[in-house]
Amino acid sequence: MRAQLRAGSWEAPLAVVGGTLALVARAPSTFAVAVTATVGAVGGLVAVRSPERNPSPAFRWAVAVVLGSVPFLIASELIMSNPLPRAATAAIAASVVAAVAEEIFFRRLVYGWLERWGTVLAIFGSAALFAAIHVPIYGLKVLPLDFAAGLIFGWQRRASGSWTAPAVTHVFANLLASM
Amino acid sequence: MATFSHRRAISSGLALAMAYLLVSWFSVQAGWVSRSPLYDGLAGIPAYRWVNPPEERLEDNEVPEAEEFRVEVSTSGQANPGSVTTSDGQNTLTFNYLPPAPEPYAFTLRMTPTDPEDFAPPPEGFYFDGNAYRLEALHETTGEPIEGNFTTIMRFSIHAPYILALQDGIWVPLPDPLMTDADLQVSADTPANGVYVPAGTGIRPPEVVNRGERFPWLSTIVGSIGLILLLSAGVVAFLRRDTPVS
Repeated sequence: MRAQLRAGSWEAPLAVVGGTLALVARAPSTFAVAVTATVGAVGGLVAVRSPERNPSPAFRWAVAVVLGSVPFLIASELIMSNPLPRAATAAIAASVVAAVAEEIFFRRLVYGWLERWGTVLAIFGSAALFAAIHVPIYGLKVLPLDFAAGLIFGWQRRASGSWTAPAVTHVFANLLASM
Repeated sequence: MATFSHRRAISSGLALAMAYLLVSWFSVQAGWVSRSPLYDGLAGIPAYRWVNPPEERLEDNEVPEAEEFRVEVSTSGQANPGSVTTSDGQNTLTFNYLPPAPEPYAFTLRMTPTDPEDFAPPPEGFYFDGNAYRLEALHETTGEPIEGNFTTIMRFSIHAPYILALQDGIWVPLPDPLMTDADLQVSADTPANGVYVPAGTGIRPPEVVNRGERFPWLSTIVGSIGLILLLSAGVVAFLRRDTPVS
């Protein structure tokens, strides 16, 4: 039986702080992929107070994925151009790994840890951390967009009851940007 | 877990979706982003590739790519492909207008990076912040230059709010450029044939390079502390994984 940590246990906040620092310090490299994957692995290992005991029905999960993915598709097709060259297969694979790992960390661990103080804080807090860790590489000007994306991912986590819904959308959004 | 009704879930999701679209639109209008961003934190913007690198880039500079494309045009002037990019991503063209014709036709497009100083010095108060790119769009059959209007999107090195066009042997700023600092790109409408270069005003600051000569101590220390904390939590969580809930 998988352990459920007692409220006040220290692994979750320790992993949240450690994972956030590790993600903030990333520089584009192969090592960064390993760091991100490690963060995701620990994010999936550490038990949180509000685990996904009652996953939502598949229909609700699917609605969350579709509704959460549509704004990324619309923005990509109608608002933004995409003039950079297509990414290499390895870069696309790394992008998929990173998307899943980040969602395990932010929408499972961080969200689950923050949820004891309320859903709103869990959604906004995980989105704020998610946006903040991208600043060193992408700059402050992408912060509002990353925060808005984090809110959608947080909403998907809440609506579907699972981190897998935002993970699918996160992968989709990264593929839109790189293919 | 508190009840989260379907109606409330849908309405809040729609609100956040609208918020995302508004932020996207505003970010594009403000020049903060121009393209769909990655949300993975793994891919930074690669260093600019110079034909004639500045002093601080002499050691690590890579040669920029020249490209040649074949573009097909329908009778209504629709281009296929609708846009082209050099393989290093430094110069992108989207075809806004191409003249319609009774029969479909094709043209050859060459995008060639060159040193802008080879043509003329920058206008007073400007600096070049990238390579000049010569665009040559020639009708495949007749060899005549194509009449048309493109949007030219140019990567720059540091900060370039302008695109200069070579006209009668001097560089002239194009009207209504749009710069996106986050992507290090500037765009403007240009004729199909010509020579263009990204440019800034004032004194060009040195390009920040951090690839080898300076060790990123801060990132290394912060990242190491983070990994130690993270792995500590992971080990404890692993050891506790079979512990019954008390």
